[in-house]
Amino acid sequence: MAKKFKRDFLIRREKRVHYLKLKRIKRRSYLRLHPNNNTPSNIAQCARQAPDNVSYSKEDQAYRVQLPEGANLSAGYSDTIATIYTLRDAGIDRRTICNLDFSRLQEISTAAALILAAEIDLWNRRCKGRLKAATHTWHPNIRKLLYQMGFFELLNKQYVPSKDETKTSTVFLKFETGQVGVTDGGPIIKSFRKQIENVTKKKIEKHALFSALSEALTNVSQHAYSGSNHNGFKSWWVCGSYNQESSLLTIIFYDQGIGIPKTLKPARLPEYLSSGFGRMKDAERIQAAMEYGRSATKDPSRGKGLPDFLSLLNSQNNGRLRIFSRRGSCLFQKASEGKAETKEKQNSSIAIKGTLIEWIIEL
Amino acid sequence: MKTKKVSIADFSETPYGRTEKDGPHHGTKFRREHLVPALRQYEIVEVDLDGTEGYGSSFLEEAFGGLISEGFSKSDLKNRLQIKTTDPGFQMYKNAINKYIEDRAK
Repeated sequence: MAKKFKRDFLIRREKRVHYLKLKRIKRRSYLRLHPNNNTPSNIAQCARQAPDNVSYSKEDQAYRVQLPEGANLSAGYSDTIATIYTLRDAGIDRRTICNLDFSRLQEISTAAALILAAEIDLWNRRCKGRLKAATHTWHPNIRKLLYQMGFFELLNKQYVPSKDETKTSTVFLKFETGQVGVTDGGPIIKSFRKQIENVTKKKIEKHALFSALSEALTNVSQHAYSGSNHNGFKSWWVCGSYNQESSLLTIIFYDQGIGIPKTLKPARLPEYLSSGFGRMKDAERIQAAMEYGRSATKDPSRGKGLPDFLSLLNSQNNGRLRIFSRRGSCLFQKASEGKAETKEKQNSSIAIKGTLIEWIIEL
Repeated sequence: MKTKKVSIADFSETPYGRTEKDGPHHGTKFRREHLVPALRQYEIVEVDLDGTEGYGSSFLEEAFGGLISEGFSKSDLKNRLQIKTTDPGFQMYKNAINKYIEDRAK
């Protein structure tokens, strides 16, 4: 009798723990999307109003994190990033088991796929084997794309091509990763270039690609992870995709550092002081970093690297560069030699963790 | 006139970064182990840019701009340091190096 009582008590306590944890995850998710709605009465309701992207399964004793129908950093930005945070929050407790539910997912952009791959990669390093996925429920084309990127290796799954797969015009490239101070990124960039040439069957300006990506690597090692909360993983990831119909090559570089807006110090330029640099939003800070080549160190010999990102655009006829960092995003196109023109800038209520750089060029 | 030829491709096919924090083949290492000894022993130093994947500005600025910090003057480098490349795509690096040296000398 006493044993049964104890067992029932432990089961009820376990359910209560998971209920409270789920409520906390949903509350955090809600507050990220509505940062100004943090009054006590709203917080009490936010678990009910939070995106419906996480649940707890008693049968599997695992959290289920569900991606939306469209995962991308344009129209679906908020939902996609909110789900990524939910996945991250669910994994804070290393004992957690989590099921990745991609059954609703119909389309995924290269950038969203890389951020997701980065989260899964870090999850595996923190708590190996506790991330599950029923890959047979995924849409066949999604399964094929994510297999190309390397998701199946991350999830330790076997890929079996489906009869329902249709030929897609987009091919994903396998992602590469490294750690600051551990990995020599140079050979990785070279092998990534060869992967691009194998998939596209076209030659790419190797020096332009190397200039851009090596500077991204240098920025990560010099600035991104200085004093930030990175749980010991100072990592970076790079991947790409190629659309055979439009001949558009997309290259993405991602890190989870503190972000460009936080690394930049105010300029000494009078116009920036008068514009209240301290009140500038994240998108404006990204713009300033690119257009004025300012450095985090205020050292005049520094700050020449960010414009290197334009070298890929300079080498092609058409191309654009988008940088997402924290709450800001800026879209640049080539203006004149070595200079960028800001085509668009946006500030969002939900921040991307770190910095994501996206080049889209026509081969 | 004693001339020394230095090929960056012999140092690394994929050099990048400023310091060892960035990677094993960084600008400070190239400057201290190859450029500075060559400039101290030879009258003319020819640096060949060909044969690598490319260069980032951090590597070039640290390797060549950093020569000013090592005690070499802008005019001295202008007379004794020759940057060579046969690759049209690498021409921009030649111009960049000259600019980095000038900026550091200010």
